[in-house]
Amino acid sequence: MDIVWMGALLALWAVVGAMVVGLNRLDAPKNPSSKASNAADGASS
Amino acid sequence: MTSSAWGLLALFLVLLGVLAWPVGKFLAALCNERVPRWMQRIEATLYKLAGTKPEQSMHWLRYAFALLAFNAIGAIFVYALQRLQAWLPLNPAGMAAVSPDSAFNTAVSFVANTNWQGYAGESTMSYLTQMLGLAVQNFFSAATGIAVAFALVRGFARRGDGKGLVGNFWADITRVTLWVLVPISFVLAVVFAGQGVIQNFDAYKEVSTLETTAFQQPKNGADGQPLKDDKGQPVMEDATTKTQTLAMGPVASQEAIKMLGTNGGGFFNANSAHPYENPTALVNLLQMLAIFLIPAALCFTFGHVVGDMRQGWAVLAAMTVMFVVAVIVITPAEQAGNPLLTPLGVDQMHGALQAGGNMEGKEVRFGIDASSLFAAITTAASCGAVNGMHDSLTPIGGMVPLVLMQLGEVVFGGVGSGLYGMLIFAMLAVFIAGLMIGRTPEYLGKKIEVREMKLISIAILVTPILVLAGTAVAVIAGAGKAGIANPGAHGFSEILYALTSAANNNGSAFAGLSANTPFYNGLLALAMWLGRFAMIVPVLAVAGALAAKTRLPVTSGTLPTHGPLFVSLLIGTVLLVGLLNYVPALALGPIVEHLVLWK
Repeated sequence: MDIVWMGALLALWAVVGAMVVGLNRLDAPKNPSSKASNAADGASS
Repeated sequence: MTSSAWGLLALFLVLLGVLAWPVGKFLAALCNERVPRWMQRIEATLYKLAGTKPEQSMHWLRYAFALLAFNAIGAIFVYALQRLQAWLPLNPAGMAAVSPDSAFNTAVSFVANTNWQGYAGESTMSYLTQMLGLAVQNFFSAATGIAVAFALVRGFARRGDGKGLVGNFWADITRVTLWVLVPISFVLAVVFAGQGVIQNFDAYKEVSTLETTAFQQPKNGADGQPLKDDKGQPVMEDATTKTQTLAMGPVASQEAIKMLGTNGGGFFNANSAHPYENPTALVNLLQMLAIFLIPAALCFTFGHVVGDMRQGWAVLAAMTVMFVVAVIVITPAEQAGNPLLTPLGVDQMHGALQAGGNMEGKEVRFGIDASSLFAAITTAASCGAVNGMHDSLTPIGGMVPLVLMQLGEVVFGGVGSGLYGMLIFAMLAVFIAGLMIGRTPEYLGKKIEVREMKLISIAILVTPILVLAGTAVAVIAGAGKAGIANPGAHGFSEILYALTSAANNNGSAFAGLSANTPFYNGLLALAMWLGRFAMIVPVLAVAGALAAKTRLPVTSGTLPTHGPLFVSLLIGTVLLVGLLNYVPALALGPIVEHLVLWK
């Protein structure tokens, strides 16, 4: 039974680990021009 | 509310403000990595042993993996300790190995800063497990939360390095543990011990009682198994006893970090209702202050680090307003008592000789005021310690802790998690305001763009999905329904409370649910793990995205985020998200109960 529950822990870890990788890709700028998004382009509150 | 309830609330808030300010200032120094030289020298030894370089700031991805690795190792260690405790020292009561499913649930629970307890501590855990497993995780899980808050605050404060560096996880967790959690816990533990909280390694004591106690117990058959009647109910037999076993243990040292780290896992099953955990009114007050101390202090830390104290005050104001409203609802609800007892001639009025109101499940020595305030504090923060039984609260009184958790544990919240949760809502509020006035949303000079909003949406939706889907599974599955002791609306409330508490990393319980089963141990562990780390990951991603951005100067068109208008907008956003997610579920539980009780 210990192997089953340790496997469950590993699976939970893997889910969150995959989330880190996935969100890092979501986070990554898709093209160089987006690096300039910090510039005051257009109206800013 | 009675005048004594108002007085206690006012005293609590004043003391909290006085204590939180210096702690917040010191935490800001740690967040800014400005540590005195003598501290640096002590730290340097630890970093050398660990082979880490604290001056190297990490990209959020590395920070997240370091955090996940650290917590996974912690979970494996706590699991192993529970499974092996029968063969390890400091086990005078001869506790057997904890069952695999319960050990898994407990390991995840303490690592995730939830401290949901499906077991009774005094009849399950050895002293070694309590100290080396549970208490150690109380420190580390709290430090993890503060480290994530540091990373996010740095994201706002940094001028924009383009790289998304958010700090060094190993340095953060070392500094917070070494210079904040351990010293304050030590002082608190000494004060607690001075007030009567026990601290020893004695064997449990068998004492004679003043009276013979008659009770019923399940009758066992010749095979040693409990007998059941034709309907499947356990057969009971009468018994008497003239002795009682008093559990002992190193309680004071665990009690301090249990509160300070908003962990909440009690040494004893009765938690802070037990006189060895919470013996006096002074200890009760100190425990309540300890729960809110770091969450409140971190608001000041936030203000210091971003260079505008008004921002910290605004976040603190939003938290305080929601908290005070919660206290104003729960206390009169409990003071009103139970209408079903009135026709029976029960005097429920408060007076010089009694607290009055609904005293079921409450300690007479704490009464309505201190029990209601404690319930609001422990669920506003993600602590989960209790000094009364939440299952016995009135329907509206019980709904307040539920709602406080369902708002995302941002009303002060957990250590670190309260601040980063509230800042996520602040960015959502700024985004909504930006939509209304047609401008690019911006918070503290950082533009909130599409990527950030996607990450914020994930962070906000993780826990409602876990709570609502988990509750749905539990009320459908036979194994889920088997744990209900009170069928009907209250049984639904018990399940909803369990999932809400687990996914929001609170850990308190409507104790009527029998949750120490493989089904609930597995389901709640899933909710606790994802409720903690699936929230932390997008928050760190937001921190990294913000740290990479240039901080724009304030202009006449900048939305002020420090005034009453923004505080109102922030409160409105938190309430709107919470109510949209949970009102239907609440209608099936506590609201139906209230209407039935007061019909």
